[in-house]
Amino acid sequence: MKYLSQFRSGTLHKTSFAEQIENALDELAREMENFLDIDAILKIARGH
Amino acid sequence: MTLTIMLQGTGSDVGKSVLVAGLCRALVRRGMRVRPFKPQNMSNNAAVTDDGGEIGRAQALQAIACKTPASVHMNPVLLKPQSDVGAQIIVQGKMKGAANTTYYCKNKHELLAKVVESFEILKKEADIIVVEGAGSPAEVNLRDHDIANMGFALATQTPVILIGDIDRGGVIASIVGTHTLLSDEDRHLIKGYIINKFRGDMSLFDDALNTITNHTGWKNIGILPFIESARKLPAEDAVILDHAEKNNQKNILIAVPMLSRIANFDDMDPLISEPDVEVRFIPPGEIIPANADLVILPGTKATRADLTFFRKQGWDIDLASHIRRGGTVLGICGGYQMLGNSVCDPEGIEGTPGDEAGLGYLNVRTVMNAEKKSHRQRRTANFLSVKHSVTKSTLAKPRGRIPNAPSFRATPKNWARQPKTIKLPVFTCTVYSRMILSG
Repeated sequence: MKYLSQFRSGTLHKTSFAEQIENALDELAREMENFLDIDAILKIARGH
Repeated sequence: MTLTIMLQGTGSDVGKSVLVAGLCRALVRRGMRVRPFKPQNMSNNAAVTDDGGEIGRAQALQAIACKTPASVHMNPVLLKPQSDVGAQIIVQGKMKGAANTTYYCKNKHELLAKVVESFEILKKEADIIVVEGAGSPAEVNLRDHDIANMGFALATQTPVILIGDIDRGGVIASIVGTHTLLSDEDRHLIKGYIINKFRGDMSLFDDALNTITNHTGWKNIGILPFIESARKLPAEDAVILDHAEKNNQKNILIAVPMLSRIANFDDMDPLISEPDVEVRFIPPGEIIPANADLVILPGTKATRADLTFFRKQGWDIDLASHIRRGGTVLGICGGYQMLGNSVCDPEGIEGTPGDEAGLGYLNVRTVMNAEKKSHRQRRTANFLSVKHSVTKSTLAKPRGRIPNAPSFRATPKNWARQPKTIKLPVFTCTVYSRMILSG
């Protein structure tokens, strides 16, 4: 943002990009736990 | 014993990469040691691994989801398209040359052996491997030489879950159709299916689930809604650029011409994530906006061909106008090379051997050679003011492709062709935008 601010002032994101990715992955994982049968996936992976 | 599961799709862009990343993270949160794996990827978005090779960026993201360093073994075969019929082939992180359809006919067994070798290496360090397929297993015309979908699953006896995308329509037919087209032994490997990108009342789909299960015998593993957070994750296929949204409410406009062989376009993601920044990908035939604050020339897998493409769109004129107005330009990898005096490819690494005149804004001459060196570098955002006399002789000396060529910031005063001092940032092109933001 320091670089970008030479063009015009702007609002800085409160978290770093890496943190945003981490948060998105955690949110995605929570959604998958909510909507998918993860236990069934593990059973399939075990050959059952 | 290491568990293995493979997610295949009814087509491209159904959400395989994101679902593998999400499943990896969900399993990590359960305390498991998880590794991602994609036997073969086709993408010009490549990431550099800690072990010094290249893999698809989706696998690098999935490695982050697994909280583990990325390895070349997570994506042992990477194809980087250079034309409509040919691609550069990367095997276990290293470039092996150009590939076309006859290459596959001749080398399938050798490539599959490398794929299985990498798979076995990963299995030694994991409780479960989550494998991602490519495209669709229903492309049965490709089955004989396939190592990306059922060719891999059959060779390793990896069970498969099929993903269907309801957002694009026709999900029932795409799943039942896949079932119909597969051979018995391939079909037997599929154990269940997932409906992805659902919007609305899921109960309305109950009858459809019964229809699919009755026709296929496959178990429904769940229906995933359209997940907004997935949009925050880096995309791998350039097709997503066609759907980029225009937003005139943002404060800073960055224009990125969409080169025909654009590479690593997800370098822009950190900029896109900023609330006051609009990154606008300029499609062919459109002009670079006159009110752009910054023009970024992105990476490309075919620098010389894209120089021609760039001029054909008239973007060379737009760029010159932008510079005359006092605008700022940033070049990344191939984009940086295009800004120089010439791009020379004597060995035909990217196509027909020859030279192409650059845009001539930097006194730089690029000469490509077959060996490419990849390094991961972690740096803080230091715009290192290098008092570096840029002369034709000094820049022409290192004969070789500029690997991960540094991006640069240039203002009109240092755009002259005469030797003079320029500012060179110390970070590599693939991480430049992250660095800009953390600076």
